[in-house]
Amino acid sequence: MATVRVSQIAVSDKLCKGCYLCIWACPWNVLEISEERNWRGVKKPIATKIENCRACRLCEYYCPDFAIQVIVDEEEEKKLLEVEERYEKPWLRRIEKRNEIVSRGVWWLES
Amino acid sequence: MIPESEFENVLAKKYMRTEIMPHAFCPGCGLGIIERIILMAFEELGWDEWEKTVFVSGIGCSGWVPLYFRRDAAHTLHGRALAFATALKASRPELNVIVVMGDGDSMGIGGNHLIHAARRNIGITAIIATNMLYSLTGGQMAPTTPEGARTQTTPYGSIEPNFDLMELLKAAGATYLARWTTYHFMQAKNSLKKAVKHKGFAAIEILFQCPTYAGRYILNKPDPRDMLQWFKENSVPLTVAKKKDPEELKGKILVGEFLHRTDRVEYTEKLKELEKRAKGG
Ligand SMILES: Cc1ncc(C[n+]2csc(CCOP(=O)(O)OP(=O)(O)O)c2C)c(N)n1
Ligand code: SF4
Ligand code: SF4
Ligand code: SF4
Ligand SMILES: [Mg+2]
Repeated sequence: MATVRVSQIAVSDKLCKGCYLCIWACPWNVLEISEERNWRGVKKPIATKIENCRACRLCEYYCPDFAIQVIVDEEEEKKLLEVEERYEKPWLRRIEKRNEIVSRGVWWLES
Repeated sequence: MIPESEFENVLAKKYMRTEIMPHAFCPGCGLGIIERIILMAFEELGWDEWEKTVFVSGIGCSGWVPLYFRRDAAHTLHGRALAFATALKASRPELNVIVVMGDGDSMGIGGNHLIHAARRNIGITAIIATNMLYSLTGGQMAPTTPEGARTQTTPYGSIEPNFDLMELLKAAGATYLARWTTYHFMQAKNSLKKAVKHKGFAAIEILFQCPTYAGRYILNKPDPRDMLQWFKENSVPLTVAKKKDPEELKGKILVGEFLHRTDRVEYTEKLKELEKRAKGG
């Protein structure tokens, strides 16, 4: 069950080179290789199971060509940001704190 | 629905010269992920930091990375990016100078500039894109090629041990050091944010997938997905590595933040001090 409604996963006709790192990165098997080639000769990835998409954006992050984007409608985006504010920000702050401590720990003279 | 023929990624639209894209890199090349790491770091650092940033790059596939940004960039001679950047930083210390170099560029032909920039502790952020060989020229051996690896110039396996950049720069006097792979893009982005804010010589080594040469010659993995999977399975965080014995860590990639010193004074600050002294102030 998806927690957000994703309206479209857009893949650029101009930029996609068909490396399929987005498919590799997706934890929810949303994307698949399409059947036909576009005008650049690329079989682009298409979102066959868009209802499974959680808008985690890993596909975007691992795309080296800035070719893919997960498009969430505005209402949903607001909801996502709210979740981030409530749950993810404190978690990120904890990680930052931990990083600080770890970086003090790798002080070169001690190692 | 956005028509896919004219769609542009938001990050690319904000920061990049989309009119000259798609970029010249091979399909699946990790240099695009390095571009994203840089842009994501600046997205969080803010537009003001971006406005006072200048990029300098050397020659190699990796030298093309900053040329796609809507920002001033100098594409210098092979190995001389740091020499150019040193002069730039000395004359305009208020700028963020970010240097993007390949492994051959920085440690092979430009090795001297690298250790001396670290020795001076000049406030430059060096991003070193390691793919374990020279890729622009066709896959020759680089100082980072692992011992025993097959490349275009070492068809029977390399007999030379490779450089460990982190140890090299630690000894030379750098004050911020981190190593990540393109698999660890979030961590790399966090390190880059720190490095840009750091006063002193900061170097971040990012291992990236070069499916065309490193993939085919060294790892026998011509698919970028297999290379990222390999990064994932073969990297060990520093904190975990400390508990393991060296035999276990052979052939693994140590990742993490290696060094963060604040006890050395930055070069351009010393330069300012000197100027004052020389003028009798
Ligand atoms: C003075 C000089 N010598 C040699 C070359 C040829 N050359 C161009 S790129 C390159 C190696 C680049 O390797 P690396 O820095 O690892 O970058 P990569 O392409 O792997 O990203 C060489 C030897 C040159 N351009 N200039
Ligand atoms: S990662 Fe990007 S370039 Fe590669 S197939 Fe997916 S959308 Fe296309
Ligand atoms: S946003 Fe996440 S779940 Fe959705 S397609 Fe991309 S990787 Fe898959
Ligand atoms: S040769 Fe390697 S480093 Fe150069 S663009 Fe191709 S994949 Fe990237
Ligand atoms: Mg290289």
